[in-house]
Amino acid sequence: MAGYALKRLMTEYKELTTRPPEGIIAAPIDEDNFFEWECLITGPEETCFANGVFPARITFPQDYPLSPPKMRFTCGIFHPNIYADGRVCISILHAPGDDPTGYESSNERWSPVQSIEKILLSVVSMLAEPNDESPANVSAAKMWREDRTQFEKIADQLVRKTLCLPASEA
Amino acid sequence: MASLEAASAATSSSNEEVRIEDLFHHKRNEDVITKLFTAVYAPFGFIIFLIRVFLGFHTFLVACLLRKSAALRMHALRMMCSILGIVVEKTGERDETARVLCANHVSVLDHLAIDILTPCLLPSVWDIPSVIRWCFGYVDLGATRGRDHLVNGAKQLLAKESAMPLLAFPEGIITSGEKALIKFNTWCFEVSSVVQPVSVRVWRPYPWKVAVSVLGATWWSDLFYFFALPFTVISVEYLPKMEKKDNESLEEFTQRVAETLAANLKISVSKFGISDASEAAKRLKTDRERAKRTVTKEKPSPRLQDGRQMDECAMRIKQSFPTFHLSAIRRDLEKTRNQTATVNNLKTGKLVVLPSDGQSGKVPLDSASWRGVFENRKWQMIESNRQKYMERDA
Repeated sequence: MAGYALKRLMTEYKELTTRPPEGIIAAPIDEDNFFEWECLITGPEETCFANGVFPARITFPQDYPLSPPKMRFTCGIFHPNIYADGRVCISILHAPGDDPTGYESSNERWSPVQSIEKILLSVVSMLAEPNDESPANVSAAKMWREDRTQFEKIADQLVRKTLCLPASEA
Repeated sequence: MASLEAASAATSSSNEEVRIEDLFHHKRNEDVITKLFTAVYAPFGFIIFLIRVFLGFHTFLVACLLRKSAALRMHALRMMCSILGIVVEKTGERDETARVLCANHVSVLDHLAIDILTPCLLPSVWDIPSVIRWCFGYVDLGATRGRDHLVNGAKQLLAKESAMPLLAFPEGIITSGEKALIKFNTWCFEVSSVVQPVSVRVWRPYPWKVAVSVLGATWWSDLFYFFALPFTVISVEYLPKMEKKDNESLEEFTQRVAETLAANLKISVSKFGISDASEAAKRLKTDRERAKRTVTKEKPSPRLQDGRQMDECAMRIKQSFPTFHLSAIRRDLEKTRNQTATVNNLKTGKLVVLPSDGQSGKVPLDSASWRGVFENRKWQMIESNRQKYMERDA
């Protein structure tokens, strides 16, 4: 089982390294453990996350790709669909059976034909268009709805932090 | 007049490049050999220093007991000073008609050197106890109570004491005497219209080439080096006396004397006054204190254990040193495993920057090197987005 997962992860690794999608990179943290990856996602253009380079970790189960991996941002991102501890709540990461929020349709769910690249691309579009119908971070969703300026300010501070820029005074 | 103006214009234009800091020594030992030698010599120097402190005390007593104008005192002091490592050389002749001597200031013992050659009156410009003042042969002219007091006091004193001239250091601060003179204070030129310029040079034999005085140093540390090193030569040269012309203003006369003295020393007259110099000293002091503080603050910089700590550290350093590529910083951290060490490498220009920094290059087929490709792309991604963000922000 793990052998197949390993083979599949190796194929994806090669694909992501030789033909990296725009603004996304990912690789296993340690060559000895292919089930723990780190990745970097560039915030989508024309949004408050633009040009931010957000680091995240992806943990794969032993029965990958039957079960979906788990993804967690390590930069303290404030977003309606990301839990305060960084876990990403997005339909593609959920198997068809479980539905923590009850709002996801099963055609967006995890299936073995999905891939790391597809997950990461979904996360990019999630950053661009938060889904405040099924929030993982309620206060972020509330701020996104009611006080967009403040939300954008928080996002901008994070972007600056990920780019090694000092926090702006405002 | 015209030629004088041309001359002063020339000096002031050449002064454009001279910074106030250049007029002083900043370190006692400037080259590596002197530094090494000083370390080897230190124990001997300390013994010599102790012996000389006792000898110095006797010299001091002799100086106090003998009458100031006595010829015996002159010779006795000159001898004893040679034993103390202070060798005084004299060139040129003292002109008795000039009642004011004005000298450049290069060490704490300048007045002693001149006093040995020609007993003179030393106006005290500091507020020191009268006992100490008497011991060193200073006279209180009320310099602390303002310039008019000083000038009047000096005039009265010269009228009373007809034998001895008044010694003044119109620079007011000790300089290296190697680059330029500090702008002269005009007070001593107001006291008398006839002055005799005196140029003072000081040197130490190689490899004891320790700076006689550094900016912001205390008088006792200067004195320590005088005693600890084998010897120091102070050469005093009396220049022909100068007289103020009738059509000359006080400032012009001062400037003329300063330029004569500077020409003799083969240096220029700077546009900086005493206040600029004390500002520079203050600045230097705060800079040093700040440097000391940052060093103590950065001391507990722990050894970085894993790649993640090094990544975070690289990003922290990048924040303070944005011109360096993250890849270069991270590579150096891999070697030093220490934030402080890498920051020092960076400051001293020891950071290795490869031409490949900032370029992705071709992806090799060997999967073992893909991790390196990821690292490279990671830093490149942060650098390029950083660039874009700043352009967008501007």
